[in-house]
Amino acid sequence: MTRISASTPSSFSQSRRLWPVFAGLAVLWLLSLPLACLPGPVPLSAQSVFRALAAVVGLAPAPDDSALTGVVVSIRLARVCLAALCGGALAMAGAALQGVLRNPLADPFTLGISAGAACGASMAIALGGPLVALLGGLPGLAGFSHAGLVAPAALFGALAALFGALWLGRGDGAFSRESVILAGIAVAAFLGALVALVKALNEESVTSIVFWIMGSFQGRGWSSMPLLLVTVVPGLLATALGWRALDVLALGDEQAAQSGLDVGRARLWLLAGASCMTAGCVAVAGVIGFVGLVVPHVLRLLLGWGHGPLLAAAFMGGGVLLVWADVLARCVLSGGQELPVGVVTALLGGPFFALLVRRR
Amino acid sequence: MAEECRMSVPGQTATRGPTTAQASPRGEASGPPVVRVAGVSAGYGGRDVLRGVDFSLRAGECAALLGPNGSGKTTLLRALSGVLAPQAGSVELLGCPLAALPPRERARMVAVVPQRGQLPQGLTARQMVLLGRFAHLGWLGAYRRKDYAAADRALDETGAMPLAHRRLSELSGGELQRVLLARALAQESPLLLLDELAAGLDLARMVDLFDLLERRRAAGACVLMAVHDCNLAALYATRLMGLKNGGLVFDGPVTQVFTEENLGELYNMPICVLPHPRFGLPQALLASASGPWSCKDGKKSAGDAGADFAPADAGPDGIRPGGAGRQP
Repeated sequence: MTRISASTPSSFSQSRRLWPVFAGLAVLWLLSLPLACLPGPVPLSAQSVFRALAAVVGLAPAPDDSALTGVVVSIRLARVCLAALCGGALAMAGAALQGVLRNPLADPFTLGISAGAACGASMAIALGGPLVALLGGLPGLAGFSHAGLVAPAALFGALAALFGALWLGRGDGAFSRESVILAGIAVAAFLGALVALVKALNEESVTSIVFWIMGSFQGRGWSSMPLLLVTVVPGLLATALGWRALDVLALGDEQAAQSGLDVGRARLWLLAGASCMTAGCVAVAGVIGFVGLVVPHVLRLLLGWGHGPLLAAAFMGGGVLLVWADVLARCVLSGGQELPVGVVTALLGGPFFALLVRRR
Repeated sequence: MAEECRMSVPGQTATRGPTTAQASPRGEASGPPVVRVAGVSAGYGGRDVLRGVDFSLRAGECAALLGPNGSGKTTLLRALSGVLAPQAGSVELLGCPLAALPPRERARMVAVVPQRGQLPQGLTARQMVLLGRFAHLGWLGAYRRKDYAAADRALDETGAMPLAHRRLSELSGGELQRVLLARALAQESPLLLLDELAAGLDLARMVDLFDLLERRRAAGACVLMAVHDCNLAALYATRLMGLKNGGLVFDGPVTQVFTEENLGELYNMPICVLPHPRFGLPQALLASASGPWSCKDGKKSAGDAGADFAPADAGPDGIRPGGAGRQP
């Protein structure tokens, strides 16, 4: 901390640095969306990719090659959009949780949300067969598949874990940060054990559970978008509108209350918003770590104190990071094999975070 | 002895010095009470810290809350600021029951300067003062021009403007107190609660801040401050309240309640009260202390203290009979 504050003695220089950082991030974010559509297992020329993308936004006539449009729009663009939204939501949730719990190590998974999602998904993978058969037999749901069950189950698990943690952490009517953290750890530990139990009892589904838990955008397309939007947009709004409350909460509960903040209610809204975003991301893409931890930390060094700029920048920064991590995940291995994107973010984020900690 | 030490009550205002003699003399408080405390008991868990406290304060009053450690001063301030719900009794701010007020409206009525505790890292003094405007912000939470104006006014008033762009972690204790006071002033609340504002300040800083408080009081603010230094309280407060074991043991104008009996009972030790040589206000001195000047037989006098300043058990040539003497 001392070295950082010595190099930037006043926030005056920081407030002048705010806009360049914002502009840079916005440009990077906007450029990342089309550029990340270029690489992929199917070799396509940049010109044809851009032409297909231009057709999507109505800048050019649709190309004749419908297969090309299919690859670019329904596979690559969908993945890029999902990754941008997930990364932004995870980073924003991390920034909000670190503020609410006043704990720099809090991230979307401190509250047991990921464990809940993993538990729900594992249950669906291991035990969902009969249910899928039953539902698939119904006349209206002929297309119902196993994969269609996993995402809702993960969402349900994440939300159940969240409400469990909040209910446990609700000491005498107010949400104190200590009790919420403790409740989250308790819920995460219990649900982790439940996942291990499912794996032990149902050995044939271990591989798919493990792969799902590591997080990946493989095979996700526009069909996942509604689920993501339904969870991320309300969470995003709840978190973004609480930006000043996050500033005031940094003073501590007592001074925040004396400044006019309803501490318990603000904390509940922010926790619920951040958790809802996380639950949606985990339901769609599995568990993706380190985005919520690394992105807010780096941006805090760049932007200085204050949650408004931090949340906005975290949305863009997290999106950029996850989009390119996903590009790496699908291009590093030759022969069309993919790495789980959660592994890429952990491999990139772990050393980077260690570096940050050392610098302090 | 006690008769001589005690000062005479009449003629106080006439002898007061220029520092505190402002446009409005002390005790000129009128209008409805800003805060009314009726039978308040409060505590933590099963432990009662406050037991049936009653008083009310009006605009233009500056009340000092005196009392030994653990007597409930901070607890009373917490109950008044609404962060600690009383177990019994009621607190009214400007006629509204405190418990029924939403936090935002409560913060517009009462501002607190807390004891220096844990503070967030990395924010600047001006950002800190601006946070005092939270209760006045709209639902989007953006600062408007009047918020910046109020914060800058408060920074100006406390002399903290040169610190505006420094980080809190770089400030000294006195500078930090000024910033915390500025934040409370920016809140623009009629009632100001101060918890040990003077703690850790040097004399000049202390006088600066209390002179500022006096200007606010003269302008119509209502101030309640927990103070350890009863002499400072006597100079600046219009009213003294003694809190002991959770109850008020005295409450009244400085010249009436600042007596050897009251203070002696409050702090549970003999205290000597003398008039201030310049202002004539009562000031307290310790009446029982055993420093190195005190004789072994307990006889003490002012004349002895200076002349015989030497360790009582020192040898004739000033060398203590210590370990060396015991050696065979």
